[in-house]
Amino acid sequence: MKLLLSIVFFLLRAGSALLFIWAGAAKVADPGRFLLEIQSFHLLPYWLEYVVAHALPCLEIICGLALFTLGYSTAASLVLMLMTGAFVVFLATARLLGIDTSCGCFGKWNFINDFRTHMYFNAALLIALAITCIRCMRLHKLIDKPE
Amino acid sequence: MKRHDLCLRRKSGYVLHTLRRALTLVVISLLLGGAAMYFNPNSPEYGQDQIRRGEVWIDMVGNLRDVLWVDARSWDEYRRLHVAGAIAVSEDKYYIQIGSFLSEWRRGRDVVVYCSSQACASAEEIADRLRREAGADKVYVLHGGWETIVKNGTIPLKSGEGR
Repeated sequence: MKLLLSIVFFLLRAGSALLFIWAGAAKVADPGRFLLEIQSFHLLPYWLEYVVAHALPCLEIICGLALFTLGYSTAASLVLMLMTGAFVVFLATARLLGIDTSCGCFGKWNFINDFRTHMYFNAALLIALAITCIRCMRLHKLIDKPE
Repeated sequence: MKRHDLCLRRKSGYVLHTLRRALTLVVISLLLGGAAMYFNPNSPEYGQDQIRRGEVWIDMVGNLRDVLWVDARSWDEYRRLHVAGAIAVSEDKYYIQIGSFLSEWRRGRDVVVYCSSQACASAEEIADRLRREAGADKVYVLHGGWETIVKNGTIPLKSGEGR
C-alpha cells in the first residue's frame, strides 16, 4: 500500500512537472502568440502583459524542473499553485466581463477550448499540486506523518 | 525549551526557507524572461502586435464556433479573391448586402469580419453595425485583415461573385 501511494504521488508530481514544462516550452517557442492571448483578457496594462508573456513561460519551466528536485519542490509547487489559482481568477473575471478568451496554455497545441473544461482541468491541476506540496512538506518532516 | 516550542520554531523556519526559495525561483524566471525579450528570435518587439478589444488573431479563429466570415472590402476586391464562404458586407453597399448576412447568420454563430489590412477601419465599422443593427452578439474583427489571411495560407480562398 505504501509503495502504491508513493508511485501515485510520484506520478502526480512528475505529471504536473511535465505539463508545466510543456506549457512553458510551447509559450517560449511563440511568445507573440502568448502575448496576444494575454491581451485578449484586457485586464493588465500593456507593459505588464509584455513582461508576463516573457517571464511566465520561464517560471513554468523553472518550477516544472524544480518539482523534480528535493530542495525546491515545495517552493515550486507553491508558486505553481498560486499561478494556477491566479489564472482561474483571471479566467472567471474575463468571463464575467463578457470577454471571450482562449487559454493559450499550450501554444498552438491547445486542446482545451471551452470554459467549463478549462475550469475542471485547472481544479484537477490545483488538487494535484496541493497533494504534491503536502507530500513534499512531509518529506521534509514539516507535517508529522499520521501514526 | 519545550518540544512544542522547538517544533513551532522549526516549522516557521521552514516556511521562511520555502518562501525564500519560491522568491529565488521567481527572480530567476524574471531574469530569464528579461533575457528572452532580447535573445528569443520569435519575441515580438515592444509595442508591436497589440490586439484590441473585439479583435481575434487568425490562429484563434479555429477555436470559434461555426464561423461566418464577413468580407468588408470593396466589391471588386471581394470578386477577385475572398475567403471561401465569406459574405460581402462593405460600408458603401451595407443595406444591399446585409440581407445575405441575415439569411446566413443565426444566434450562436461566431462572425469574423476582415478588411484589407490592420490599418483599415472598415472591418471595425461593419462589426460595430452588425452588433448594433443586426443583433449579432459574437462579432470579431480579424487582426491583420486580408493580408494575414493570405500570409497564413491555410484558409481556403475563392474567386468570383459566389460564396
